[in-house]
Amino acid sequence: MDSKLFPAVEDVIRSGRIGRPVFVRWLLLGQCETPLKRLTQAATIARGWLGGPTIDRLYALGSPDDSALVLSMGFQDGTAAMLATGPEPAPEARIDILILGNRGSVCFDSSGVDGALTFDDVLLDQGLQAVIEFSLRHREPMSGPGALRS
Amino acid sequence: MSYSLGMLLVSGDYTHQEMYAPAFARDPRCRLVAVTDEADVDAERRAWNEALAHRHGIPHIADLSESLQLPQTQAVSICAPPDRRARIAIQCARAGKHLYLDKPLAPRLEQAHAIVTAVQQAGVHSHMFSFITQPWARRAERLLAGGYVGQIRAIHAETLFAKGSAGTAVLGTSRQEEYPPGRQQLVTAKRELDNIGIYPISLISWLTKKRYRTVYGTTANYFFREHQEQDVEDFGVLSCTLEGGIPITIAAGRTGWCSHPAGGLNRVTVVGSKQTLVLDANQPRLEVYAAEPPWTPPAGHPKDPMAFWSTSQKEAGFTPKRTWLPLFADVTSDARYFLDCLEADRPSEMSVVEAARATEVLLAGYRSAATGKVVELDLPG
Repeated sequence: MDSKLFPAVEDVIRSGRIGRPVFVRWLLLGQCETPLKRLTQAATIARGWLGGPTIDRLYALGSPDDSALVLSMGFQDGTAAMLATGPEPAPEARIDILILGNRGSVCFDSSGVDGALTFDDVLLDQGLQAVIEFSLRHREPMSGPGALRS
Repeated sequence: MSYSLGMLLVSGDYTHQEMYAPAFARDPRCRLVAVTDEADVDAERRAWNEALAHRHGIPHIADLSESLQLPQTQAVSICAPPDRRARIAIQCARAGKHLYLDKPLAPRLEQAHAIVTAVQQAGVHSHMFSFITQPWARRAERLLAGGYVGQIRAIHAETLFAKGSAGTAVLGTSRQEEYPPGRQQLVTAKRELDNIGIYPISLISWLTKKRYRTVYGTTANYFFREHQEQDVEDFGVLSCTLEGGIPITIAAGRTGWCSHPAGGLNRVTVVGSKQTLVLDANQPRLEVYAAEPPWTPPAGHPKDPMAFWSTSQKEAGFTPKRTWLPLFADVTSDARYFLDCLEADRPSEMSVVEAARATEVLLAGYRSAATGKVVELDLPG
């Protein structure tokens, strides 16, 4: 899935058809041994779709030991992302992506196919993961360049 | 004898009364009595009120106080703009009239609470327009009540309106939000987290029967110069928890004509221990592809560039999109539900009590957006 989905999304963004990406919303539902790692990797990709802006604030909900995690990110250029992982009782994993551009949108819904993503080619940003975990454990938003080392 | 009541309409064209009045008129239990408003509204508002009255063949009474004395009025549909809505609702409740209210309830928490107090003291029924009466929402309620998803683990909602000519906002900086939020509804723009976010906020609390406990919010200007010029947001996101710590995420806003093949993404994903339930207001639908000219956005109406109102859309030559045709969107279900409640003398599931709680969540979202902090409910005041 990764090898097809991510390049296709990036092609659409590069084409300019949706204007400038401003918001990413990504649900990743499916059994996963390392949901925090998965969430971090997805956040890295989402940030890339937005043009790689500097993170300005971040708030994570859930427990680091749980699979139902929510991550809200705001960037210095005003763009934002909201990602969530969760259990998916059905045999197939499900993913749902919405990217809003200022002149359009691109959506992906894995209904009917297995939405499992491996993120094999996505480097784990350990600093970002640590900040997300801190926010989860302390139930506090993180903001400002001092708090966000990624 | 079959049930029958008289409905007074507060405010006319260029409000959602354009939608509510026909829905009430269509129900045989309801007679539209008159269109009215506060006596000191400006000439343009008065003209719009008169226009709706004329279209429905009912009188226009300039003074609300006078019209509330009409013995044939048992209920009032209130669509005055947010800055006037609370005092009108209170006046109507004190006059002993049941209230049907446009959303959101009021821009300030103390106003929302004052409405609740007035309604409770008067012993009248009340209801705020929402999505809870839509067939897809009712189906979801049945499934959740029947244990289809098991224990709810999280809920994620997107309510986006595909209206307005997007692409004109200046991008590149974060929005600085203010608290309390001002300027809810202007001619050319509305606060869209307030205007649209009310739908998923109220729907989720109704579906789960749980109250919100924490809110983290951000607002943005992504799409429209008009919103930016008025310093109101066109988009907002909320990360919340319900009682029991259930995480909720909400994305709400106006995203432009070309962002969706129909009226906009309107979806709720309920993640449960047994199943995931996806509620999609655009499903089921017909999809029609034909050798005909493609749909194009209308030219902006100078008094309504965001296409808030059907009157102005008609004047601007708006033609509906025709590719996606949702089958079960029902514009009359909410009016019918309110009349059912009145006939059965039972409280609405979206009374001013529930509506006030939704107002509180919205205000918490703005407060969070302004401060960068998580806001815990209940808000003071």
